[in-house]
Amino acid sequence: LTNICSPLLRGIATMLMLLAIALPARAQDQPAIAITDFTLGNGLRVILLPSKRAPLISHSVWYRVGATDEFAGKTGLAHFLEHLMFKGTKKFPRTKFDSLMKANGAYSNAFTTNDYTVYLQRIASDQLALVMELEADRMKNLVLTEADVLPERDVVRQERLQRIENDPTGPFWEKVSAAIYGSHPYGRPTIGLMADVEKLTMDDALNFYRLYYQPQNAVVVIAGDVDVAVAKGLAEKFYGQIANDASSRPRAELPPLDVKPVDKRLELSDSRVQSPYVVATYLVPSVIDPATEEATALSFFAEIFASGIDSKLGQDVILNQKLAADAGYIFNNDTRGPGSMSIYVVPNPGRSLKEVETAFRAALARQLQDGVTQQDLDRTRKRAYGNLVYDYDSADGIMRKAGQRAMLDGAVAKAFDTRDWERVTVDTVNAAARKYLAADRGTLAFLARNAADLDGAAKQ
Amino acid sequence: MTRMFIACLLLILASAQCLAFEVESFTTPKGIHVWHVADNTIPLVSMDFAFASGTLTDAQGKEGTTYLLSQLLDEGAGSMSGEAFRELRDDNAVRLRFNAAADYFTGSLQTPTANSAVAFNLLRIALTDPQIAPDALERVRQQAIVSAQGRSNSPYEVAIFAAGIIAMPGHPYLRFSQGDETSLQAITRDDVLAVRDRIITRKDVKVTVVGDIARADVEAAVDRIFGSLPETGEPVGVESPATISTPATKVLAWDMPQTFLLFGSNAVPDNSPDYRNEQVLLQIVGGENGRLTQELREKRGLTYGVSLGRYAFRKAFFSLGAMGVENARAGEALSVLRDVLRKVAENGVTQDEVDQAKLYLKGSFAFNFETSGATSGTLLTYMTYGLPPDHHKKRNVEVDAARLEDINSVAKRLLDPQKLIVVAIGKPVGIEAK
Repeated sequence: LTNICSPLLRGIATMLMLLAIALPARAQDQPAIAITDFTLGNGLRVILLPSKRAPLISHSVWYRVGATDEFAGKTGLAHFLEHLMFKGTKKFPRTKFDSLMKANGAYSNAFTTNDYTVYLQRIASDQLALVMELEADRMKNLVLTEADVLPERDVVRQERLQRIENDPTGPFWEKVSAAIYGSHPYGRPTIGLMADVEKLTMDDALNFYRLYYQPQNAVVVIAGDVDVAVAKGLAEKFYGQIANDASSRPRAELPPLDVKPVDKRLELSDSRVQSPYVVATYLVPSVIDPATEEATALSFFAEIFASGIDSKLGQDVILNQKLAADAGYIFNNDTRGPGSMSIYVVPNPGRSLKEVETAFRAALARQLQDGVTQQDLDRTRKRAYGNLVYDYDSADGIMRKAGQRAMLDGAVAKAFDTRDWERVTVDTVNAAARKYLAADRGTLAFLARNAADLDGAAKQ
Repeated sequence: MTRMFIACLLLILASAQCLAFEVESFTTPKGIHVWHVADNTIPLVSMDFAFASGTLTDAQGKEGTTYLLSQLLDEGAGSMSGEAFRELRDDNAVRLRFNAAADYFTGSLQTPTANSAVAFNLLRIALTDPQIAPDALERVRQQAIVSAQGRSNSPYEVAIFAAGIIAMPGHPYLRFSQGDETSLQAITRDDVLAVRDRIITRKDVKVTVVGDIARADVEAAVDRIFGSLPETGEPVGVESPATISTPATKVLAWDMPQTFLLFGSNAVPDNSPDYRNEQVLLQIVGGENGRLTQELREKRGLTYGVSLGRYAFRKAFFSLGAMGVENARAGEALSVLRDVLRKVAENGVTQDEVDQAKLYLKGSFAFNFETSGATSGTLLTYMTYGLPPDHHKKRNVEVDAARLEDINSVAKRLLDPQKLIVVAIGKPVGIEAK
């Protein structure tokens, strides 16, 4: 499995969840998250987030390697290796791994992003030793044969066909990413280009594995019904014994962007499009950007301006002008490098993409000019606090939040810290929005059922 | 009793998971049936409820009426406009959703404990006094048309409808539950109000409440929310369709590189003594890393994912599976699929597979109760199936009772490739319509 590009997300609940993920959490009024954080002698970091919700744990291993660590001609390698990590070891061949997971009713999966690769299990809390032993073993002892690798490469080809080629939104979002990021690694598809995927080899995978799958490059995150003392002992026993290979190396820094955020337009029409829409995408600071308050400020702006029917944009294009069926935003700034933010509008039947674009641009220009108000900000902040309680209902969600931050800059506590929320003011929200969402910084993309619907929409 | 106790003990030893929570089942003073689980680990209350009929109540040519109702209940109620309603909902971090399924109209409410009075009041006025304002109806209608147009381009939606036409021709379950463009255009405000009067009633409503709330508060809240609804309302009667007895293959030519293959056949009724046998069987054949995955994905790299599971209505029961395969290998994939099913039907599965599937089904059961919302939703399903309030404690014992010979006899009946319906969308090579 892999995180490729966001599907069109809908519904305020989803938006609020996005906000909760994009923003950290406040300790007072909320059940506290106690974070136990330690590093073993070999450099492997362990983060424990105990909560007594159910007799289950979410155990995960996060590697500091992703699609951005690939090189020319080998796109898709990080994701391909993720698939191959399920092929087994000498001690736990594939069938043994599977039967141990099944025998415990466990959920086991993995995913690859631009910035990291994750393996996770949800299992009864008394089986922590088992999942640790399995993950520690495959961190070092993966065994691959051509008989495993070739069918799996076909599986990945089928995955790409299913997710990208067979669904017009796939190529559409690949074009958007390429336009935003240019030749920066974020401009390439996480799953890889088909021409590259078809040629990946077992040696490619094993070399990549030896470089990056090392204890000093991994973080283990466990949330749920976990006993801190027991987990510490088990981590030392299973993960603490693994030595780093001399050949391993830390990942390279991301290159700087070589494109300027300028006004771009692109379009795609395909008769199989399910829902036509216009989407404007902007480069924005990552949540780990030193100017982190800008990222937080933009999160509040997006929520005020573009979170469904009752946001400023929704009120305008859905309720008043009756032009659109839906409007929302997608943040993709929980990233090591530059983030992005997209605002989309779905036209009503019979309304053109061009009409919707004009209305969107006017609404955004007006919002930037008028600015958000203190009342807007107070209300949005209050809602964000109110919704935090839902995060604490799920150990899996807590695990993901901590692991993601560990991968980005290691500052795990910040993932649960809402002090930034308090520092944000009307002025910082408006300044950040004016800086990053200016009309000459957006890439406008038009997804249509047929070329006639575009009617020159993507031409200026 | 003793046997049950030992089984339970063995189960606990085997899976190391004991779902210790208690469900309290009671009827409120106003006659509403409730299941309640008190749990104050998290300051959250989760409520799920089901009215006894759903989109089957839509009139012919007005399909989508119940769906529009489900989208209109947060569009203004009592003296509150839609905006005011949603503002209060969102300011209080209340999550409220309605869903129109074929047999049931359901809803789900989640609220921080501190805001539960506001949340319950919002739900009460949404159910008892929705405005169904004409401008909101028009807006929701347009949104529903956008969705309907999207579904007509969705391989899954189109395939499942095509399979339905073959499996249960003319049956009410085939009607588009969210409507199509024509039916949505035909719906009037009076139609929506009439559906509301038929569905949103006190008769046979079922409610589950989980979380940080005491029984007395549950009783008071449930009676305030549901107690003043009209008593009337009859579930729409629907007959079970005939079981599938002849195979069929339908090909829909779409210009895309990968073929979407949907396949299905009969399944046993919900109340069948073979229900658990079938569950174990489908886990072995179509579950994670099951036989289909082994043969189609692991050995041959034919697909990214394949599964086979149960797809059931109140009165119609199917098994349903799907996979994506590149066009050139679609015929090969279909013949491997048929071969897997034929072998299981003819030769059965093994005791080892049965043991492993049971362990998985038992061990993973706890995930249904991982969060408050998951718990109230799962319990509502049990309630609508007419299961007892301690079902969560007995379910794994039932799974353990499934026997190899019974499972194999179910396999013979249900996995017969001669009863398989296949719909292929794409440009499949090697698949011919039959």
